Amino acid sequence: MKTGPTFKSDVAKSVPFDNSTDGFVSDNVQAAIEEVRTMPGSGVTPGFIFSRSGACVVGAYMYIGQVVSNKTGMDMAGSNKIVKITVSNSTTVGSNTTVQIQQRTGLSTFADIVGASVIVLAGGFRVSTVLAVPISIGPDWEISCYNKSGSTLTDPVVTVYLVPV
Amino acid sequence: MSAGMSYDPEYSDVDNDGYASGAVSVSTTQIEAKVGASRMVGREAITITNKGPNTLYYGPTGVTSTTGDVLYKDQYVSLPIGASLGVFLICATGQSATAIVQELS
Repeated sequence: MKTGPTFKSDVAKSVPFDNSTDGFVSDNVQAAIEEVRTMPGSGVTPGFIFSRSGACVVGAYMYIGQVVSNKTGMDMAGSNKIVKITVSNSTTVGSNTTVQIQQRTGLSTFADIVGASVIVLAGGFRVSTVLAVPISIGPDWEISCYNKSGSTLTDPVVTVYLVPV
Repeated sequence: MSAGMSYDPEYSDVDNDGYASGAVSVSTTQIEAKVGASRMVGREAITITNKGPNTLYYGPTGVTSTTGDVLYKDQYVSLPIGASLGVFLICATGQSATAIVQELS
């Protein structure tokens, strides 16, 4: 017998992935790795955080560290997609309150990123929203965050989750 | 000394007569995996590598993307199939791929 039996090489896509207990949709290694890449928090950082101590009235911007974000935005390297935005607050809000993410179009000039907003519902103090349609941003945009409408936020912390494109 | 079959154990476990390689364009109509116009005479094995961009399927004549065995991009298969049988390739609807086919005898 000169020749051996049938042999087929493996590629990532042909290696089964057991998704029975981990919540993955993928059933092969190739798809599973791609699925991990698109999960919130698996991007360039766990998330960019905006915050403000005390009252953050309608129209007021939150800070990045010690710098108000409408003076200097948070720079993001490369092209990314916003996949999730969370807001937490130290008190409940009196009415539906919209938190909006912006991008810098010029020095100290910021414009709303369409769709990049979340609403803290009246009586609530936090929200976690996975965007139905991830929003493409970049490359190298600077982003800011402010209380767009509704009620005053108190000690808000906003986290923006990105995945690289 | 009478003529008869020769047997050299040194080469008993290798293909030592012929080796050919070629590319085959695969679409939604089955096409035979072979290098030339005909199967290599005395063929003893065939290897097929899917160079993509899409998945292809292989099987006997009449193969479809449903009945064939899958061959993903960059995956290869080695089959100990002689010249009496054909191996056919096909892609799913709307897809195409290039296969590198090698025949050994």
